[in-house]
This record gives sequence, structure tokens and C-alpha cells, in this order.
Amino acid sequence: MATKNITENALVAVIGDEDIVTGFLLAGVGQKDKKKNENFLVVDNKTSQSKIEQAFKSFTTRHDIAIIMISQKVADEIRYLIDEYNQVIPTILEIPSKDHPYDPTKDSIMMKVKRMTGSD
Amino acid sequence: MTAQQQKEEIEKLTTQFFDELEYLNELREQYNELLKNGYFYLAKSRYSMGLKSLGQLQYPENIKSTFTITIDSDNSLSIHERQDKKKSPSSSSNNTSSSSSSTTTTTKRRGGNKESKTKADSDDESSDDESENNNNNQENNENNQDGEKKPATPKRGNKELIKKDPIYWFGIMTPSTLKQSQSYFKQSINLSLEMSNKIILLNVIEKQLEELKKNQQTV
Repeated sequence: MATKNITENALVAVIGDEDIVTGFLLAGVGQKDKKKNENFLVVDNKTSQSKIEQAFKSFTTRHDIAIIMISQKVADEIRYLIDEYNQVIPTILEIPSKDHPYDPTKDSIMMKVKRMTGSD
Repeated sequence: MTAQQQKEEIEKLTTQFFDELEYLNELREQYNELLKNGYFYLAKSRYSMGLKSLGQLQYPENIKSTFTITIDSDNSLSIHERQDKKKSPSSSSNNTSSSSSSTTTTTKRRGGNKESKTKADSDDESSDDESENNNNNQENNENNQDGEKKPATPKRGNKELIKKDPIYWFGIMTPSTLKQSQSYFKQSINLSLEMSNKIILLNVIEKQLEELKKNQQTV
């Protein structure tokens, strides 16, 4: 179980469509400085897969992020990266979006449980 | 540890694992419901405010999160409201009379502007500020003459709130539905923290189970 040293004042990162990001930014999640270091990524039709991968990799390696909330639709695009991920912190939470309800069969945690119990 | 004890330990951990998983699923249902409501009220707000008035175009250049998460020694997460380090030590001087407090605020504001802006800009704008502040002083004096005493703190408090609360990125007079949406998203953050703690716990139990099973095989 891989763990890493996280700074005391950790943040929540968000990857999702505009509604998800706007909602969580309204709640006070957002952080953005002059160097354009952000803890969120708005994904739309024009966002390339490589950009999502890059953002995900950067959030998982940053020391100031404790939770990554990612829309399940976006998570499907980088499923292989999420399956490979084996750290405890930051934890990954797959969340439903406005157009795509939550599907537990696709969730990486549920998949892990299935593998563990042998019901897969 | 005997084989029997190991077996009992595995059974105990397996039961705990599924209990935690069940609780995680319950939390997940609540979380999904909160998000559903959040999206709904966000859509309602967008309907009343206009399509492009609630989106990434309104995000400011510099954003600071309103809370932080700390990680305890046992890897559990807890949420804390972010404390402003820049709070002025002279805030206790707000108890002074309204006229004197208004003058202190004007000098502070002038000083603050000068620091942040270039010389040329500051010269122009400080004169604007002066006239504005003079107007404010006049207003304050008029208020004093009328017998209404307005302390400077609520104004400053409002300004800090406007600066801090992300809802004001989208305007001063936002619909109540946006506030409702904000509240649902705030609640969902608390739940997401609880869910993360459960996921961490599940990971720990899983590792313990794996180790026990390995030991059992060797015995």
C-alpha cells in the first residue's frame, strides 16, 4: 500500500464537466494561483484525452491533494490509469454527472471488491 | 498465532470489511442524491441567470479554497475551515467612534492601494480614492448628524464576505437557487470526506486480510 507525505493543508481536486466543477468551486474547493496551478479541470467535447491524463497524473503526484473527484464519464476515458493507481492518498471518488448517473459496476472500488471476493 | 486464531481473525476482518462496504454504499447513495439536487438547482439558476452566466468564464484569476484537509497519523482525513493569516491586529480598534474609525479605514485603504499598484496608476487612482473617501466621510458625517451611528465593521465584513464567498463571482444579486445549490455541494464535500475515510479503511482491511491469508498458506 503506497502512501506519501502530504502537506498539512491538503485540497480536493475536481475533474469533470462545467457543472461539476462550477458546483464544487461554489462550495469553496477551488484553488488557482498566478502560476496557473489549479486543482480542477473542466472537461468538454474539445478536451483531449491526453490533457485529462496529464491532469490526473499531476493531481495524483502532487503533495497538496488529498481527494480527487472525477466524473465517472471522464474516468471511463482514462480507466486504465485509474485501475493502475494503487496509492491510498489521494483517494479517488468517481462521481455522477448531470447526464450520466452513477454506475456502481464501473466504479474502480467496486471492481476491486469484486476481484477480492472472487465474484468477478 | 494458531491456525484456528488466524481463521477467526480472517472471519472477523471479512465481516468488518463488508460492514464498512455496506456503510460506504449508504453514503454513496446520500452523496449521489446531494449531487443530483446540486445539479438541479444549478440548472435552475442558469435558467434564470442566463446560459453563459454560470460557467468557467466567471471564475476569477486567483482562487483560494475556503477549507483545507488534514491527514492524521492513521491516514484519516478531516476538514478545516481555512483561517486568514492576514487578519489585521488592529481589528480591536473598531470599537472607536464611527467618525474616527472611518478616517482610519480611509488611510488604510489608501496605503493598501499604493502597495499593490504601480506608481503611475496609484497617483491617478489614489486621487479617485480620495474623492471617493471624502464622499464616504461626508456621508458618514451626515449620518452622524442624523443620529445614526454606522460602525465601519459591517461594511468591511461584507467586503471580506464578497471576496471570500465564491457565490459572488456570479454576481451580487444571485438567485436563491444558486445558494441552495451551493449548500448541496458543501454538504457533498463533507460526505466525500467520510467516503474517502471509508475507502482508506477498506484498503487497510484488505491488506491485513491478504497478509493473514499468506500466513495461513505458509502454516
